[in-house]
Amino acid sequence: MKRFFTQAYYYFLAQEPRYQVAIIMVILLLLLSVVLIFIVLRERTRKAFYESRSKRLRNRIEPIVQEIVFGNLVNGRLNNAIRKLNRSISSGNKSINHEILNDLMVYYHRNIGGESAQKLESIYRHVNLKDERLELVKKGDWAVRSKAITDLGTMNMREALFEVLQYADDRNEYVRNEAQYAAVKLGGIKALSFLDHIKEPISEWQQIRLLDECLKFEYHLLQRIEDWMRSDNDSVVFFALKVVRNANQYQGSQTITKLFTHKNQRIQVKALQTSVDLGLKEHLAEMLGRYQKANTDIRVVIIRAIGELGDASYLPFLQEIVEKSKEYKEVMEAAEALKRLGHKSLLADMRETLRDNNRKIVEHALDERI
Amino acid sequence: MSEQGKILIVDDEPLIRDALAFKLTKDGYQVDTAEDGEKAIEMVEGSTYDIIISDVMMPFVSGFELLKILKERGTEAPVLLLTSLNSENAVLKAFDLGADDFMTKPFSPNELSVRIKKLMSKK
Amino acid sequence: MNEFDTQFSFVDIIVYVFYILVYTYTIAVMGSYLFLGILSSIFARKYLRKNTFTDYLKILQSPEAPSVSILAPAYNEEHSIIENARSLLSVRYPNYEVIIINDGSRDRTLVKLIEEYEMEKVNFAIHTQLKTSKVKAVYKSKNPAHQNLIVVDKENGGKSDALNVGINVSSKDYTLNIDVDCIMEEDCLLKLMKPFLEETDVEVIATGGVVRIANNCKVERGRITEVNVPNTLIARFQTLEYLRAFLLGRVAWGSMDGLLLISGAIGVFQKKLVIDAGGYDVHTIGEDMELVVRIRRYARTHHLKYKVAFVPDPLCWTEVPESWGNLRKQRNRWARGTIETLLNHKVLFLNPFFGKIGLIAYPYWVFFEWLAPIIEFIGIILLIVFSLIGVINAPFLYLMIFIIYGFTVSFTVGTIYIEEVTYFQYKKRRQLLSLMVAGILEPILYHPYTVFCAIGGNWDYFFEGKKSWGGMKRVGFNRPGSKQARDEKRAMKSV
Repeated sequence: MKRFFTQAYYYFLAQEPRYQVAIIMVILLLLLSVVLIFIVLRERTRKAFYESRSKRLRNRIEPIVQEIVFGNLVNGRLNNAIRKLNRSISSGNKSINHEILNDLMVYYHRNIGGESAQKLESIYRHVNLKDERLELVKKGDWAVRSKAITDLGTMNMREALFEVLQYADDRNEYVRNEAQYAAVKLGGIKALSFLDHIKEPISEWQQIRLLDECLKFEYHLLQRIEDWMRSDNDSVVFFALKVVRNANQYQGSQTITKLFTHKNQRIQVKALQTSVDLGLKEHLAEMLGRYQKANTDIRVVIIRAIGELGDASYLPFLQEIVEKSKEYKEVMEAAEALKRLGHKSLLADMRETLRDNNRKIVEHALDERI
Repeated sequence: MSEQGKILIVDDEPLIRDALAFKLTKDGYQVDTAEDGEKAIEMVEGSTYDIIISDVMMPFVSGFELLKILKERGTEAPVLLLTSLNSENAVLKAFDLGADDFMTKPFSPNELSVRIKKLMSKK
Repeated sequence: MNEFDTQFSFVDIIVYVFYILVYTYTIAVMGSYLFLGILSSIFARKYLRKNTFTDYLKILQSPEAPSVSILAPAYNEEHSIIENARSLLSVRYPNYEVIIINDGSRDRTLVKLIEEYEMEKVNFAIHTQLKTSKVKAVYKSKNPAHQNLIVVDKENGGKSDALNVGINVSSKDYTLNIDVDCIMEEDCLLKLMKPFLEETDVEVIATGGVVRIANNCKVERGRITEVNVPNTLIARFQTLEYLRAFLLGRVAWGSMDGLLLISGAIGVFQKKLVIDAGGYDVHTIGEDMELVVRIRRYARTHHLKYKVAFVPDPLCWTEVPESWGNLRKQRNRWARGTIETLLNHKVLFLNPFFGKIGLIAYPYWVFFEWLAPIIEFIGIILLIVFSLIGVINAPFLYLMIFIIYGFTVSFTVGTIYIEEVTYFQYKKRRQLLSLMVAGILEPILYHPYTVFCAIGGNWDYFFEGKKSWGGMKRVGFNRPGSKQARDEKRAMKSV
C-alpha cells in the first residue's frame, strides 16, 4: 500500500503542470464529496430530530391556539391558556419554536376572519411574536426582513405601520414590495400615497395584491384613482383601471375616456374594457368614433361594448361585421353582441347568406352549449 | 347522534379540517372529516349527515364535482361550500350546481356557526 | 546532426493534439458543470427563500389573474385518461380551461371521455391561426361542473399537431402545454404563472419547471403522496440524470435567461407569441426545444425585451423508460431532435445579434450537448487504441479514467447534496444510499450506454436519413423567402 502511494506520488510529480492541476482538482472534488456525504447524513439526523420535535410542539400548541381562538375563554382561563402557550415555546430552541408558532398563527389568520382573527392577533402580541418580527425587520437579510414584514401585515399589527413604512422605498425590491403591501394592509388608503410619485414600474403580481386590499376600502378612494389614471407611470395607470373595474368606482369616467388614446395600446384596451364593465353607455359614441382606425384587439372590445351597452340602432353596424369581416374575433364578438342585444333570430336568419367561415362562427355563437 | 346534528367536513388541508372540527364539536355537533371528495362520497354512502361543509379546490374530485355527485344521488343534506375562490363565476357555478350556501376564506367561524344553524333549522 | 531532423513523427503529433483536445475539452466540461452547479444553487436557494413569504393564494383569489388553457394531447391513453382528465380538472387556479386533444387514438380514449364526462358534439368554430390536420369534432360536457372541459377529436398528426389544434381552440391568453400523463403538483400552475406577473423590465414569454421521476412513487387520486427512488437501476440512473439536468443545468440557464429548452412534459407559453412565431413545427422531432428557440428568434427579431423563465421547483412528475430498448429509442430521438433544432437554427451560432443565446447558450448546446457524446466516444476509442499500441502508457490511461470518473462521481454527490438541502424529496436514508450507489455505478454501466444511443442518433440522422417525422419541409425562419426569414435579416442588418 505504502509502495503504491509512493509510486503514485512520484508519478504525480513527473506529470506536466496541467495534469497536476487536473489531478489536484479531482482529488479536492472527491474530498469535497466525502465531506458533503457526511454533511448530508448529519443533516438528515438533525432534520429528523427537529422534524419530530416540531411535530410534537405543533401537536401541543395547536389545541391551545384552537381553544383560545374558537373557545370563549375569558380573563383567568384566557391568561392561563396564553401562559401555557408561552411555556410550550420557551423550552428547547426558542427561535425555531417561535417560528413554528408564528407560521401556525399566520396560516390560521389567512383562513379565518372575524372575532377569531382578532383573538389570534391578541395572542400574537401577548407571546411577543410581534416584537420579534420587528427586531427581524431591522437586522435580518432580505428574505428574513421580507418575511417578517409580510407576517406583520398578515397578522394586522397596525401599531407596526410606522416601522414598516420605513422600508417602503428600500433598496432591495423584495423588501420594498413587501413593505408597500404590508403598509396598505395596516394603514389603509393613506398608505397608497406612494403611488402618487413612484417611478419604478409596479409588477402585475404587486398590483394583484394591492388590488386585493383596495377592494376592502371605502368610497373615498375615488379622488386618488383619477390622479393615478393620469400618472406617467403606466403600471400605476393599469392598477388604477383595475381598481375602478373591480371596485365599481363610477366617478371620474371622463378620465377613462382620455385613456382611449393613451400611447400604450394595452392601456387603451384596458380603459375600453373598464368602460364596458362599468356600464358607461355615454362612452359608446366615442368608442365608435375610434373603430375604423383601430386594430383588431381594440375593435373586439368596442364590439363587446356595443353588445353590453348598445341598443337596436347598432344592429346594422353589427350585421355588417358578421357579413363582411374576415377577422374571426370580430365576427365572433359581433355575433355574440347581436345575441346579447336579444336578436338571436336575426342572427339565425343571417346564416344562409354568409360565407362558410362566418357561418360556422355564427353557429358557434348560437350554440348555447358552448 | 348529537342533539345538534352530524356534520361532515371535506377539506384537503389538515389544519383547516382540524380547526373546523374543533370549533363545530365545541358548538355541540358530531363531526366527521374527509380529506378529499372521493373519501367524502364513501362516507356519505355509509352514514347520514345533517350538513356537509366542503372546500372547492381539492385534488381529484373538486368540491363542485362532489356537490354534483351528491345532488345526483339524492343526498338530502344541505351542502355549504367554503373556499378561497371568491370570483362571481365561482359563486354562480356553486349555486347552479345546487349548493345551499357559499362562504369564502378567510371566513368567520361565528358566521359559519350561524349559517349552519340556519341550514339545520330549514331541514 | 541534420538540423531538419525534428525527432517528431506523425503519430507523435496526433497524440499531442489528442492530449491537448482531450485535456482542454475535459477541463471545459468540468468547469462549465461546476459553474452551472454553483449558479443553480444560488438561484434555487434564492427562490426557496422567496417562497417563505409568497402567498400564491393571491393569484387564486384575484379577478385579474391571467387566463390559461391547459392543452393535453392524448394518444391511446384509454387506461388512464379518466384519471388524468380528473387531475387536470382539479388544478388550483381561478381562470382556466382544459383542452384534451384526442390525436386519432385507436383505442377507447375518446369513448371513455365522452361517457365519463357526458360530452356532446357542439358547433365549435375553430379559429385556424395555425395549419393543422383535420379536426373531426369538438365536444363539451352537458354537466355544468365540467363546463371548462373541451375535448377535440382529430386525425392523427403527432403531438406537435395536436398542440397546434389546442392553440387554435384555446380562448385564453396563455397555454400550459402538458403531457396528459404528467402528474402535476398542487400549486403547479400558480407557480408557473407567477414569473409572468413578476417581471417589470422584460416580458416573460414562456416558463418551465423541474420535472421529477414518478417511477415507484405512490400516486393517489392524481397526486404524488409518497416519493420513492425507482426500483430498477436503469430508472435510478435516470433519476440522477434528471436531477443533474434540472437542478444544476436548467436552473442555472434559467437564471441567466439562456434556456433553449422547456421540457415537453410541462411548460407555459404566451399564446399570441407562439402563434405569431408559427406554432409547433410538426415536421421536427424535438418540437419542445425547437419551439423555444424559434420564439426566442422571433422575439429578438421584433426587438421585444423578453425572457424565458424557469421555476426551480418540482412541478410535475413523469414516468421514464425502464427497459434498455425503450431508453435507446428515447435517447436516439432526443439526439436527432437536438441535431435538427441546432442545424435549423444555425444562424444563432456565435451571432452577437442574439446576445447571450447566440454567444453562449447555443454554442454550449453544440459543443457540450450535441458533440459531447461524439467527442467522448472518439476520445475513448483513441485512448484505448493508443494504449494498445503503446503510444500512451497505462498510468496515463488510469490517470484519465481517474480524472473523469472522479469528477463524475463528485458532481453526482454534489447534485444529491443540493437536492437534500433544497427540496429534500427522498426522505428515507435507504433511498439516499441507493442513489449514491447508482451514482458510483452510473459512469460504468449507464453513461456509456447513453453515449452509444446518442451516437446512434447521430448516425441515424446523418447517414440513415431519419431526420424528421415526414420529410424535410421547412417552416418559419427556415423556409427561404418566408416573411420571418426576411424580417430577421432586416433586423440583423439594422443593428
